[in-house]
Amino acid sequence: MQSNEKQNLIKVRQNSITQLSNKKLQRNLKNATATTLKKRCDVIRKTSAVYEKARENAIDARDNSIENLEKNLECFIKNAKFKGIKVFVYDDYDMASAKITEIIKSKNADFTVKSKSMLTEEMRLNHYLEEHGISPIETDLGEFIVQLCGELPAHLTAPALHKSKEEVAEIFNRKLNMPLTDDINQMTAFARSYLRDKFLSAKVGITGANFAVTETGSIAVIENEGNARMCLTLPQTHIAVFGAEKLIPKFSDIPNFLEILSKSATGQLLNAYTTITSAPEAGHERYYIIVTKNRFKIASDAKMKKILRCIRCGACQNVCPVFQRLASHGYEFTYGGPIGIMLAPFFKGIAACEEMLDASTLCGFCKSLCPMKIDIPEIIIEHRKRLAKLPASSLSLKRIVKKCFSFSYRFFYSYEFTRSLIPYGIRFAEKLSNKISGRFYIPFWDKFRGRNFIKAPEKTFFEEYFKK
Amino acid sequence: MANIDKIKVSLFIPCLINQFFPDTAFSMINVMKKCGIEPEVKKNQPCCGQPGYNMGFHDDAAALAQKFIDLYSQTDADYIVVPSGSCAAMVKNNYKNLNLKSSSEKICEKIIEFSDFMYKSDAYKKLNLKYKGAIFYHKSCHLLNELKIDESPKNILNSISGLKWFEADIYDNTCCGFGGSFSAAMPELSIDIGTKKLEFVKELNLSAFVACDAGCLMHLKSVSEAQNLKIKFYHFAEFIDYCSN
Repeated sequence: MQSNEKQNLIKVRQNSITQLSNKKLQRNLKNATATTLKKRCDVIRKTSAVYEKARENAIDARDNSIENLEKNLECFIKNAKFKGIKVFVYDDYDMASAKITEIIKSKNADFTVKSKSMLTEEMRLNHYLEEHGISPIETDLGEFIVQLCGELPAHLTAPALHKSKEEVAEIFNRKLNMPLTDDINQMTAFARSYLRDKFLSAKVGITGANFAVTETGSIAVIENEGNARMCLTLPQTHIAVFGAEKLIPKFSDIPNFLEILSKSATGQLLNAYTTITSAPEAGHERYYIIVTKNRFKIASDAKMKKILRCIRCGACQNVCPVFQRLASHGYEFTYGGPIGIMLAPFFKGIAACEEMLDASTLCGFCKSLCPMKIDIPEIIIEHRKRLAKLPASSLSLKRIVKKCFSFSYRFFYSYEFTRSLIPYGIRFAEKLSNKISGRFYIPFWDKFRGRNFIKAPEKTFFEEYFKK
Repeated sequence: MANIDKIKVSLFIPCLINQFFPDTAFSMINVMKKCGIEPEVKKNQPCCGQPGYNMGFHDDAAALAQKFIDLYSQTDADYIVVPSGSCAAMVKNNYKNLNLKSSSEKICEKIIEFSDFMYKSDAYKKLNLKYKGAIFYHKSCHLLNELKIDESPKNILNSISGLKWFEADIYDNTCCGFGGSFSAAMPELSIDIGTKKLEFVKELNLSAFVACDAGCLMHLKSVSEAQNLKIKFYHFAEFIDYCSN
């Protein structure tokens, strides 16, 4: 297991070099995240009192659900079944995907319309369906674009934020024969009419769920394009796929979450479409496929369970200086950025996430924006602590270097006398390298153009101060 | 805060300032003396333990934290002033997460960041602050997000006559890209984040950069020098010292 994890190391540093070298991508990412953040700041500034109140209530509600996740889930299932919904719970992705495939095949369908769902990305559901002869059609515009490109979503709420409108026009032209244009309205209208036929002829629609209400067995789906509502109402069979962490206790909690989600995610006062539903209409069928993968494990981990508060607004991604350069692709995980770093060790194994855990400056802006007040830096540090405690058998060279650094720090920085030895070391290295190569050379630092080593002055503060 | 003439202050000198920017520490002492405060500088100051803590080596961090607590429990000072947001945040917010032999609570209450101390004690009002020109003020992340100190340094900047200062909004740019071990583990990202930050400063036509944390200053200075950007970097204490001359 351990060596397996090591082989699967997610090479974030290598990815960062690739992503940084793509100037166009960098520009798109910066523009997209900055625009959303600006809108978010404006709308929250204007409504801060209401927002804060809703935020507190929402946090209470969610904590309540996480506290007894297994029991609450049972209760939710009972209530949903009572309303005539067929509910299935799986811990395994492939078993959940197999069930979905089975349902679709039993309706004699060879395609399905699908609205945005990060869980289905996590499960690689589309890949599974395609392998089994069913074509999943993404109907969220962003997801539709990413699917055409054969890529994975770059962001939680804006899957195609790394694409410029020119790139979108090009892919529409190449894949769907849309005449080239730079008019966004025209492109949207084109996608809309293309997808309309699919909605009307689909036998099965798949959606996610933003919230699952324990008390009533209902789900809330929050969106802006109306595509999820169509996936949920037009086809005779609706399958909602969501994780166990989506639970909230009461129906009356929904407004609090509505208040914070769209403001935090897209900077809108309110999202355009909110669909709350439970019992299927006459002649229709509704399935809930609930995935519990790693959810109970996180919920029972006292130091980590706050991660499950996350409502996937993506604000932490927008503000993260590292995510702004990598997008989710750079993390090689469904969820990129701060939320991804928190979740990945549970899904990929902590040793595989060593570089990912390093890829945070711990600046804490994610924490300051998080509507659910998750202390993200603290959780990242907790993961790093667990990584440091892994047995010697799984040591990597990097961790040995870090441990040596930390240990020597502990020794040298305990006293003022030893603290002053470090600059002597630096100055000695400087003189030596000047003699040999005629310039100051620290192998590690010099390798990277764009950064000089700051020269240490002749005397440290303590030497100078206590000399007097 | 008590009357400024009666306040007793002890200083904590962060590693980077001791090693790379001793002038900053002398500036801080200078400024305090001008305000009528005679600060105490303890011998044998250890590092606060932040590097080990952030990297996940909490035993190493705890060893240093214990030394810190032992040293400063010997002082009768009312405040321990730290010219660094991240070191102050480490002691104030994180010591409680470490397994220490003695309680850190009393010491944590005494810890205060330099600009916050200058503002809350009204000490800055004793200075006749003047500056001709414009600067960029960088809100160091740990100062802002961990200690939640935003207004204190800005209010002092506002009181400086002749000074125009600019800052970046959260959607322009945030972190300087240093991040301690991050700058070593992810050098390309670290440099890119720093470069974009400095490009923003250059676009504002500014050539002086002020921040409350030596970490940010060291990183950005190293980026600026390598790219020949001709930006001058001042620690907040140095800048205040300069403005009061």
